[in-house]
Amino acid sequence: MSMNAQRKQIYSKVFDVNVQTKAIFNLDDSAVIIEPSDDDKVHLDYAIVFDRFSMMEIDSLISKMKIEATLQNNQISLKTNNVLKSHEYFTYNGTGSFYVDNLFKSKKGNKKDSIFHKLKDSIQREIREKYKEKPLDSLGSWFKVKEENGAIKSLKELGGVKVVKGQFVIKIPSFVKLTINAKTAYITFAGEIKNELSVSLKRGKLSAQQLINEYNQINIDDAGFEVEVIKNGEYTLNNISKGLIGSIYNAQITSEFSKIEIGEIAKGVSITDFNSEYWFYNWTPNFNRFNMYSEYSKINLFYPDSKKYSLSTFGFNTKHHFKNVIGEIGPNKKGGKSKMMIVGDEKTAKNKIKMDIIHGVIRFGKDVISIPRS
Amino acid sequence: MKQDIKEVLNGFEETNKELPAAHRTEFLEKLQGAEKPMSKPENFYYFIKIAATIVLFVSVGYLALNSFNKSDPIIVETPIEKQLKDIEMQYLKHIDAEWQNFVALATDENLIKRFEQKLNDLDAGYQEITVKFKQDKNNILIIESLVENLQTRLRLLKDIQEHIHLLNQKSEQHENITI
Repeated sequence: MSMNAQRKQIYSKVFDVNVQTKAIFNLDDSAVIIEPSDDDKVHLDYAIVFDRFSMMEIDSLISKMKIEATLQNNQISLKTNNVLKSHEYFTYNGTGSFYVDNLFKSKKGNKKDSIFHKLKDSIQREIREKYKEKPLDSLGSWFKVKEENGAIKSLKELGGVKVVKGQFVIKIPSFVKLTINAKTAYITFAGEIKNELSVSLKRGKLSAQQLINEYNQINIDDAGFEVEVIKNGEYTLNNISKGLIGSIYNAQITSEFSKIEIGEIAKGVSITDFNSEYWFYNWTPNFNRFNMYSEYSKINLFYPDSKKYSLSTFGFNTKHHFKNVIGEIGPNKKGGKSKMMIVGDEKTAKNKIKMDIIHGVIRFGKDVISIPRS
Repeated sequence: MKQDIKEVLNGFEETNKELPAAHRTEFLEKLQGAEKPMSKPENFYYFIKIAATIVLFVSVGYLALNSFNKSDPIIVETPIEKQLKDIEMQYLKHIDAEWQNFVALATDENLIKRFEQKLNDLDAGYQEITVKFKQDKNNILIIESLVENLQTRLRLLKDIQEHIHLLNQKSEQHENITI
């Protein structure tokens, strides 16, 4: 944004609430920041900063936005549409043609031969740094114009991208039960969120610092998911392309088709999965018991520091990678599951990792996990 | 309904009837007859007829204008729409090829069904985003969502094939492993 950028307050509203108040947010194509309120009020504020847009263009943009908030029968209803934190619009009046560079190249780059251990703090730092990330920084790299003289330029180079930055901040007291139904939404929970949450998000991203209510029900589908601290609750995570969890305590995850890194696993965690890839980096000294039930999953597991643990795998048709050995245990004589691998003494161990897995791949390591290539 | 005017005219047969020699005199006589002053009630009906005609013309005009506005708009494809259509076609071709490879490789019917369901869900999501794109063609977020959806389908199919290859890799067979 240049020095000439202008700020415009679009919406502002305050509601008095009490312990009986419930809130329902329906967010469509919207981005919101939700944080704890200092008083017994719900505050809604949306402002935008824009540059190089005419007032007519801004009015046209605002006319597409919808924010409706009401308080009736002690229930706050918020409906938003097209309220994003960043609108990047392109205009191109040249005669060149659009083309996408490296269309089929994976964004993740080449496959790695090793996976290195990460600390819980480094995962949490990674999540915090992503707060600052502009949602479309990657776009300029593949969205380009081929000019008539053959020159290939990004839209940003041609000055064809205009940006409107907005911020919708919602402050809510911790005693208000909050339900969110969202599609293509970017939801950020800032600070320690004690509210009882029921969230259903399809496309977009959920970022949070701390989600700690024991009745939390979080369902995420085809979206990003990055939470520094999870305490309690039930999580359904479907098709999360890069999930990051700093630490998790007393929570259940049901997942499929996802890629999720977990910085630290504490007491009372269990995961049921279909065809995801997980990275388990660290374990608290008293994680007690960790259960995983999975099918067609890939698990990268770094051993706990403490020697007082046991690790057992139960199932069949699963590759076990440890050091440079790949071991496989077939089905038992009846064609069913059987104990496949045991590390430590299950009877005396204070902490137990139990994996029920079929058609899976489990890789173990201490500081680094090597991935043998076929 | 649109029709080519040439085709419509083809249906007509020209009647080469000649006008009678006295047609001019007959026309003038009829015209003089029409110029006769009208009685009062006739005058009243005359104005009613004019008013009705005006109402009719205004109504027809309004309906015609409305139906013109509501008729199929002329759809002009923008460069980005053409580009996206190309991208979509390329991706769908790749996705279909990877699907065929996956089905040939997988032996687990349940696995195939789960993937079929997942791809259908993603396709339904793509259709939802396409509706948004039609409303807002210059919003980069929407364009990125469309491309990401296609990339996800391709990634899922490639990943599961890699997983099956890993499972099929030769390895040491054990009854169980104890460390």
